[in-house]
Amino acid sequence: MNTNPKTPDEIRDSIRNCLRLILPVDSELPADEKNWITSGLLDSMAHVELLLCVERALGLPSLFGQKGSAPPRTIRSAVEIAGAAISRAEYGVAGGTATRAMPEKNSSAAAFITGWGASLGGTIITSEIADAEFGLPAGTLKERAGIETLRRATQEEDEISLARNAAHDALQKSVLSVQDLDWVLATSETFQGFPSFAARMHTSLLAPQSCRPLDVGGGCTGIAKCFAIAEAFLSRPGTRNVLVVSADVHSRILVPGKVPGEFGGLFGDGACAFLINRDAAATSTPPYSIHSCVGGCAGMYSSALQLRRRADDSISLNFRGEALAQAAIDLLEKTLGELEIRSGKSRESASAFAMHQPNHRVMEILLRRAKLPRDKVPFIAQSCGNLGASTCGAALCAALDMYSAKVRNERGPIFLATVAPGVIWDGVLLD
Amino acid sequence: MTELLISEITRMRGGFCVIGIKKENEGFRSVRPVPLHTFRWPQFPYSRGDRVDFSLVKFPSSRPHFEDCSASSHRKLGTVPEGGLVDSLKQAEVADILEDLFGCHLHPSPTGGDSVFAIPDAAKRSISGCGIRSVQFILRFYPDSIRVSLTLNSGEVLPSLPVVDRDWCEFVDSLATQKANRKQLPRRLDTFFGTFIEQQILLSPIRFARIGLTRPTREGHCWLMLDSLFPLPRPEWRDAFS
Repeated sequence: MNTNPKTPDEIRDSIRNCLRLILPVDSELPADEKNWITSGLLDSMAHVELLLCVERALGLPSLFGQKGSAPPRTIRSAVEIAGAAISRAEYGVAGGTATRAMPEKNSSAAAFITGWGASLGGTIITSEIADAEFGLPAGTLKERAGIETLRRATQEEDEISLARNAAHDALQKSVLSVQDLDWVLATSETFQGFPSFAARMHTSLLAPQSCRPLDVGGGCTGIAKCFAIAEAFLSRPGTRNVLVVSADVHSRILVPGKVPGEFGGLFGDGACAFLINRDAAATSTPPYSIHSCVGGCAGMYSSALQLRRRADDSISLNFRGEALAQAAIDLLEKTLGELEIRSGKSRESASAFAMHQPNHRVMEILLRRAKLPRDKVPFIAQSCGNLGASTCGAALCAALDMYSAKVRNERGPIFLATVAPGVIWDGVLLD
Repeated sequence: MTELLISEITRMRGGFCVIGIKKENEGFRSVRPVPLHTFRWPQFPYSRGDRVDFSLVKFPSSRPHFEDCSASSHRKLGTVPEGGLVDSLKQAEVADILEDLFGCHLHPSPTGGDSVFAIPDAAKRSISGCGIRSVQFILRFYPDSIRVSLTLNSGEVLPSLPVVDRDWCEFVDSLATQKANRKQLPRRLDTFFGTFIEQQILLSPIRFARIGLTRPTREGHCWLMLDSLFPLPRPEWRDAFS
C-alpha cells in the first residue's frame, strides 16, 4: 500500500530524496536552513525541477506558488508549506487524514489482480515471411527491429474471440463467474464499428445486464489506463469485480500496400484480460494489487507517429521511426522513474518489468539505459510482434505467472510502463 | 566590422546574452557576440531590432554554441521595426518540427519535470526559430522563474520553457510592481496572461518564437529556453492589467 508522507519528518525525507535526484551524484545534501539559490546549489532551472519533483513525490499537484507565497528555497520552508497544505481543508482533511492530498490512496481494500490470461493469434510466421509480404529485403525486420516471429490471427479469430479466450482464463484463475462482473473495461486500437468493443465483449461473455461496459482509448497504453480506471471504480461502494480486457488484430488493417513494411511488419495480433477485485483472501500469498498509477502526455513527440484512415479506406501514415523509438525509450524510462517517486519503491526491488515493446531493438536499448536486468523483463515483441495494448498486458501475464504464487517477502513489485502515440505515457506499480 | 540585427537579448546570471542575425547570400545566420573573457554582457545598451556594427572575431566555441564570436567594439547604425525583424528571423535558422530545432533528438527531464534538454554533442546549433500555434504562460513560480509552453505549427508541444527574453521578463516585473497586494499576484498574473496576453499573441500576425540552448550543465544537459517571443509585449497592455 502506498503511504504518502504525513508527518514533517516524512515530508522532509521525501524532499531530501528529490534533492538527491536533482543534485549531482557527488553533492552533499544541504542543511534544512540552507538557501538553495543564494548558496548556488540550484539554478532557477534546477529549482523549478526540484519543486515539481517534490509535488509529485508528495502527491500534491500545484502545491507551490499558488497562494501567493514565494516558492520555497530551503528544506525547512518546503516542509512547512507542504505540511500546511496537507492539514488545510482544501486538501480534504477529514478526521486528520488528508484525502485529496493523497491521490495514490492508502487503499487497504485496494484493487487486487486475482485473474489474468493472454491469448495470441493462432498463426506463427517468421519475420522473413513478413519481409517478403511487405516487399522488404530479407532480414530487414529481424535486423532493424529484432523481430523473429509474429503472431497473426487465424481466419476464424478476431478481437472478440481472442479477448474472450483471455477473459475466460482470467475468470477461471480468479474463481469468479462472469455473473459477478460489475464492469467490463475494454480497449483496442484495431476494433472498429458498433456495437463497440466493450459492448461486443459484454455480449460475447453473456455478462449480466447490470454489468456495465466501458470502452477505453489510449492505444498501446489502454491496459494501464484501464487499471487506473478500475482502481477508481473499485474505491466506490457497490463495485467489487472489474474485468479489464484488450485485443488487437493489426494484421487486418496494417496490410501490405496500405502501410510500409517498416511499420506494418512490426505488429502482431493478441489479447489479454485481467480480473481486478476489491477483496482478497488474507493468505501468505496475497494477490498483487494496484499500488500506484502515473501517466501523462508529452506532446513534444506528437508528430513522430500520426495515423488515420482516409475516406477511401487508405491509411494516412506519418511515421518517423528513429524519433519515435527515441521518444519511447525516454518516456518508458521516465515512467519507471515516476513510479519510483510516487510509490517509494525502487526498480532494484522489483520482481519484474512488464513493458510496452514497440519492437525488440528498442527494448535492448531501454534495458541498458534504465539498467533493467534482462531476466526480469518478459519479452513479447521478439516472438509475437508489437501487440498494441496487449503487449504490456501479455508481459504482465507472464510476470504474474512467475511471481504471484510466491510468498510476499520473496517477491517484489511489478512495474508496468507503456507509451502510445501522442505521446501518451502510463505506468502502474503492482505490489 | 560586421552588421548584426539584434534579435535576442536574454537574461543571464548577472547580465545579458545577446544574439544578432547577419545577412548572408540567401538569408540570415545567427551570431552571438560575446564580450572578451565572458559570455554575458553586464550592460547592453541596444534594443531588439537595432542594427549594430560589431568588431567580431570567431573563436573555437564549445558545442553546440557554434554561433559565439568575440566582440570588441560596437556602434548603432539604425533600427528595424518588429515586423521586419521577424521577417528576417524567418530567413535565419528555422524548424517546422522539434527534431529540426537543433538537429537532434530532445530529451525529457531525467527527474520527471516538464523541461526538455538536448545533448551538447548531438546538437548542431544553439538557437532556432519556429512558428507557433498557441502559447501558455506559467507564472506560479514567479518571481523565481517564468515558464511558457508552446505549440508549434506542427502540433508538437514544447512544455515549460524558462522565459529568458528580457522584454517579457521586464514586462512581468513591471506588472508585479503595479500590484499592491502581492499575495494575490501569481493568481492575478495567471488570469491576466491566460485571458488577455495569450489572446493578443494569438491574434498577432508576427507570432514567432526563438528557442535557445543553455550552456552545457555538469550533467551534460543543454536545456531549452525561450529566448524570444514575438510579438514583444506592448506598453499599453499594462493598462489592461490595472
